[in-house]
Order: sequence, then structure tokens, then C-alpha cells
Amino acid sequence: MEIENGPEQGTDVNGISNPEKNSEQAQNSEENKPKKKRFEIKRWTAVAFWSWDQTNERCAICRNHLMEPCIECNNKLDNGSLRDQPDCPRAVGRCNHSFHLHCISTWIKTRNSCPLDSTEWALKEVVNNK
Amino acid sequence: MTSQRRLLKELHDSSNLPESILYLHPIDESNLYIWNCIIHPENSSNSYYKNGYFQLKIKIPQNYPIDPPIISFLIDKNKIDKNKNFKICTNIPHCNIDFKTGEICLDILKKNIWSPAWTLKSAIQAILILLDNQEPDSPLNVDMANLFRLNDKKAIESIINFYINNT
Repeated sequence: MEIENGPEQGTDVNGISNPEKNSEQAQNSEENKPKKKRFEIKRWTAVAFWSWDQTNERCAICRNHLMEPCIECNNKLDNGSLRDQPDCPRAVGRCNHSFHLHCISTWIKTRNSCPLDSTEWALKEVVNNK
Repeated sequence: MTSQRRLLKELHDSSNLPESILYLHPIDESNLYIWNCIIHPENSSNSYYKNGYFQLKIKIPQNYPIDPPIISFLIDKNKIDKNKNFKICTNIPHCNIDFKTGEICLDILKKNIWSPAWTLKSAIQAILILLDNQEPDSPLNVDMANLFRLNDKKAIESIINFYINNT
């Protein structure tokens, strides 16, 4: 990487114009002074993402995100029969697939199997999103 | 209605279809329980059906997605979509499709195998896969099943081509 510029351009490493300085002098002065960095980080912003430690982010039954309430609770919020944030917890099965507790409860009345992998459904834990 | 909201979500998502599904939409947007679909399996290259266009009718039960949609091939010539600029085949010779009613024999569409994780789009994709993976051991069309059991590829191909090119 070429740090010094040619005499025609006459700028030194720090970008200050200095037409008289030739490249050799520039090199000497570089040795005396502590070498200045060409780039300096003045500020940086860290960005991080997070998600639940689970295999699926969306409830496969109602297709809503697991962080939001299920479709049924959304309906109730819309028609006014529920006012506050509904109590719509997330159910995690032993197969590690998650659904809204409301959704999976309706489904297992039809067949006691995980909708995603067809293994027998067994509840591991219920997590409240509130 | 839970089913209505879920169908609305699927409707928004149906702009994003694989190439072999040409059309997937409710017949009338005020009724989300009857959909119309046109498939053209052109891109599954060694399919016997690759030159055909087929129309499917989809009836959705009120408690969808707990219950599966009822999907069948449309074989009534008077009901097919004539506005489209391609010819829709109304005779489908296939082991697992009833030639006279268009009924489809596919396990995932049966109540005891269906899972609510399926969508209309993924169910149609399963039907496209069924077209190329005939199952002669549970036939709705016994004549086709016999040809498949005999593995008479020439006969199979010419029967399918005859119907695709003559409807």
C-alpha cells in the first residue's frame, strides 16, 4: 500500500496540503514522528438480533408470529371483546416445536400429533410472552 | 373467524407462487372459501403431464386449517376458465385421480394425515408431486394402474398425450 503521495499532489499522510515537501523528506519525518494512523475509528454502533431458542418463529397453525397473539386473540382484540394484551402463551412440545397454546389445544382435539413432524404431541413447557 | 383470517394471510402470500402454479386465488374475493387454481407442470422436465394445463377447484371447510381443504381436478368442461389463453385439460388419466369426477387420492388431503401446518400452496405442490409419482397400489383409475404395474411406458405416454392434446 502506497502511503505517501507523489510530489505533484503534495499532500501528506494526514491529508494536509504541503507542496514543498518531496517524498524523501516525507519519509524522514515519518521516522521521527510516531506514525499516525491513516484511519481512526471514532465511533461505532453495535447491532444485535435476538430470537427465541426454538425451531420455528411462526405458529404453523395460525401463521401468526409466536411473539404476537394467535389469530383468535387478534380477532377478539379487533372486535373489542378483549381490551388488554391477551393472555396468549406459547406452548413448546417435547419435539421442540412451538405453537400458540390456544392453537395447539384446538388441534390436539382432532389428533394428538405435532403438526410439523407428526410425532405424538407432548407438552414440554408453556411460556408466557407477557 | 379464525379460518377467514388465516385464508386472508394465505391470499397475501399467494403472489409468491412457484412457476408450475400459474394461478391460485379465490373465485370471488368476498368468499374466501372457494378457490380456483391452475397448474402447469412444465418445469418438472420428465413429467408425462408437462404440456398440460389443469384446473383445480378448492373448497375450504369452515374450521380450516383444522380440517383439510377439499381439492379436486375440474373435469366439467362448462366450468373451466375460458378467459385464460391456454387450453385446460379436463381429462386426466392418472392412477390416483378419478377419471370421471376428478377426485384426488392423496394421503395429506385426508383427515387422518392432514396437518394444519400445510397451506393451500403446499397442498397444491403436493398434488404436482403426485402427478409425477403415481401410486398404482391405491388406484382411483384401475386402467392406468394396470399400465403402471405392467410398466408399459409407451402406452402410458401415448394415452396421456392423447388426452392432453385433445381437450
